[in-house]
Amino acid sequence: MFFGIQTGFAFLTVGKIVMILVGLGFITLAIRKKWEPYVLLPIGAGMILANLPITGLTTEPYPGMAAGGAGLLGIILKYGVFYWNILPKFIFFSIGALTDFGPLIANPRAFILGAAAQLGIYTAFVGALILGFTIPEACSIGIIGGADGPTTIYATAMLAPHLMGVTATAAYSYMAMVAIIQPPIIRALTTRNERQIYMKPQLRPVSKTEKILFPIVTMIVVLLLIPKSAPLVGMLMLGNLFRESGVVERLSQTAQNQFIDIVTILLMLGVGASMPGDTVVQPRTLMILGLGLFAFACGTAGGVLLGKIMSLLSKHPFNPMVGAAGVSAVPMSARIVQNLGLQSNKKNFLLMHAMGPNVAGVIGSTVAAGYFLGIFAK
Amino acid sequence: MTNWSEAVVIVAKGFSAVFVIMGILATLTYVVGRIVSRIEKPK
Repeated sequence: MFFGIQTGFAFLTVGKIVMILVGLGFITLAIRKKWEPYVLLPIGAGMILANLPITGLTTEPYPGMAAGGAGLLGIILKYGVFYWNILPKFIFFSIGALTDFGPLIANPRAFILGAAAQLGIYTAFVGALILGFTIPEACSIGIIGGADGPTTIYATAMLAPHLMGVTATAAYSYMAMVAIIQPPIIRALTTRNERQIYMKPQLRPVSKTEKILFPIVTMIVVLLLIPKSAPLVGMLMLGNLFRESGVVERLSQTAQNQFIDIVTILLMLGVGASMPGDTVVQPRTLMILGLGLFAFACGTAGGVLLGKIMSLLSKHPFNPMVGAAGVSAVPMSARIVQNLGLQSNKKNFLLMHAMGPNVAGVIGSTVAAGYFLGIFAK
Repeated sequence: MTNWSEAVVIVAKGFSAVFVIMGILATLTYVVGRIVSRIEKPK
């Protein structure tokens, strides 16, 4: 008791203390190392807030509840993440408004590299089953391999909501660590000569009409084939249509700036708050983190291996490292490929070639998630 | 117990579906690009 008021000290458990320390670690990484600060800082803060006991912050609203009874994080979690699950879709809308699909339109074979890099999803899926997870849980864990945070959150909320915090944190953490994870895998799978392959830096110019038609055609085709991917692919392409149409500039700018900032604050706080120490601190969490890393590595390998095949078959010089950008960590993976290309050959400028598979990876991971949801989501 | 036959089907069909859809999108993007550039080509 503290001046007659119940304090939280008596309710601190080992699990809660561990999660508070993890949250502090995230905040430290965000501030000191500048690792994905827009993501790790609010997630870390959410973890700390949610694990401080008897604050009521994570109390979810229910019918008949007294006014003011629900906690802010509980409201965000219930309506933003789990029940309505609207925040990942809003993020995709903004990502669409931020994304230039020009490099993909100029070089459509990048779609295939974006597909190959989804290998990580399926290898992690099998790995999760071997470790004893259920099939829906394995689907959620596998999606981490798509290197796509909002897709992971959306799919996990539908398939295995109890894994939400861990899978989302794994996806965002590994996206922040692409510079550490990807280069050794790329180097291990390519020879020095392959890494030195020179590609002309310029892609063909893409007209405004093509850029406007792209989101419309993609939306119609994907949604007809995989209807369950509609919330993600539909919003992604809607945001992109706003961007490319050129007639709703204010809406596009809002989606690219204030809107995504507001949604990011809510979503990341929600992700952090979805990790109560008493249920998260257990061996299964370490397994999921390990599987996520494995998925990310396999995704990178899948892209590079298909890149090697394309390099052999292509009439024009093709650097297989470009395939590694097929994971949808935009634009970090493309920058990794650009940097490795430049290290191997001072004349090489692979960024635009890598951006094609990079944005294709975003579509690929949502298609893979949509397929899982088509099978299991109620 | 994991139903491994179901898991194998999910992996095979799922990964194939991703490749097929991305292949269709690649083809359509290429075709649309050709048509648009032909229409917009200065005479």
